Amino acid sequence: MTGFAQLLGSMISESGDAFVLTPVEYMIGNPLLPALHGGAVASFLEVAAKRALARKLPPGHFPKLISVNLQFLASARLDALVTTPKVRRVGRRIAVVHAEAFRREDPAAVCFAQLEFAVHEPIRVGGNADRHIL
Amino acid sequence: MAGDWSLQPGDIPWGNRLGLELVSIGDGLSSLRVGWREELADEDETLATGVLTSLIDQACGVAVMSRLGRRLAISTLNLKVDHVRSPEARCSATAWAHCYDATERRAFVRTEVWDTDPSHLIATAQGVFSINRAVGP
Repeated sequence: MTGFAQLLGSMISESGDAFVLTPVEYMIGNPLLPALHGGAVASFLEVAAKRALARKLPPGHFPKLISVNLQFLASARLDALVTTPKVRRVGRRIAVVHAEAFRREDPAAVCFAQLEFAVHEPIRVGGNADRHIL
Repeated sequence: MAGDWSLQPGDIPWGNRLGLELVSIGDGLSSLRVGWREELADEDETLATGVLTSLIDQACGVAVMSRLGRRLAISTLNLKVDHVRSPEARCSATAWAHCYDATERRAFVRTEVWDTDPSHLIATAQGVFSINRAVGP
């Protein structure tokens, strides 16, 4: 893992189909509450949805986000967030994923995301190696 | 408006962690930029979509404060982001956010994001924000 996946990934653990974000202080967007930044919650749901989808794609195929529609239901405090992304459709070109983030000790949802991904086939580089662009 | 610079969101930890920079603010408009860094990139060396969503969310908040002329606690009600095309590899991104209407309780914002050419967008967004209360002086 490199780059942003690594920056976030160090805070995300997986158990079965569930992804858990254990947030750190620098993910705060509103220091007064304090509450997590909307962009940090969105990034968590994007990463979880992409990983859940990647598991269902043929080897070498990779998802690329086209659109995300976010609905924020409650502010996320510095507590663990859990999501179990639902892969709603995998077509040849497009895949649709729904991901909802919950506080672990509270059944009320924090954020709901609808995501559409383009599904790309492996890209051949130099005629032999497959290069995966994630 | 020089006074507008006091709205600079210098105390937002996630924005600081990503290195979001305020470019300009005023008249319900804001511009924020994020430089390219390896830790913000996907494996193809383009800025990650989550970084762009964070840039957009924060730019929207600054645009709302600019429109209403004071620091506010703002929460995002909804935000739709379309990634029109991939950014150039190893390239920064700049967001223009326009709070085109607001009441005391709600604000409506459109955002465009570009990398090398403002007329060649990499992402567009539309969001509704809830205004909770004024903050500080």
